[in-house]
Amino acid sequence: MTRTRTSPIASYFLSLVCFVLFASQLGAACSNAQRHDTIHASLVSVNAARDGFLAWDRRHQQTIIDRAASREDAKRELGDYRATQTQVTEWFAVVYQALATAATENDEPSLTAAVHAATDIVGKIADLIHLAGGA
Amino acid sequence: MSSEPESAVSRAKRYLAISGVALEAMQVIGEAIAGITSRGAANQIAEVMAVLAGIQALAHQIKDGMDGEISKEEIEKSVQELRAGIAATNAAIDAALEKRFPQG
Repeated sequence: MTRTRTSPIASYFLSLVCFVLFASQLGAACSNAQRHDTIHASLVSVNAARDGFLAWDRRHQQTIIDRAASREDAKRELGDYRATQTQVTEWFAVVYQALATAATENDEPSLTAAVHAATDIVGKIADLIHLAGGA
Repeated sequence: MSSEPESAVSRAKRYLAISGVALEAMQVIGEAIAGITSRGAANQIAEVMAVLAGIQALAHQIKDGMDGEISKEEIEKSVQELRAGIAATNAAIDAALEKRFPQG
């Protein structure tokens, strides 16, 4: 497997994926304390992914403006991107809802769903940044 | 075997320190230095600062936050922070757009 050069923000998300995958292993054997730790680790990871996305989001939009040839081009590209931005916001809302459910329930499915959602969104954000050409 | 089993939090912290953030941070710094020296790109420096700040924030969150209780309010606050962050970014970007391409 060849290693390609990744942007620092993409690398940051890779480290988050590692952490969330590890956190998902914590939930396998599930005492209440382990459940709490797993949910908390997932929340910390999702918040870190959120903060990473916010940092990248601003840079990405600024890049759109910097590269635009005209006001119309910039507005069109920003409009297109913000549709994705709205979608990402909804992804996060769904994950946070899953974490809230897991935090208030005490069953295995809600924990599994929350951890999977957390893992999934970190991967999705990393993919989004990668597809957009990094930072 | 006198030692107690390592807690999940301790393992998470250890894992993050050894194989997660540490290695990635080294990669980030290495790539950033390469980028700065080869291209002299100022935005590389800003990017690295942002990433390092993010890693530092993550480490602090784990250190300070893992032992606390998780409440529904805390999770809802996370969503609100996301929406507020996006609103602030969009406002700043709209202002930058007006500055670069003034209307009229």
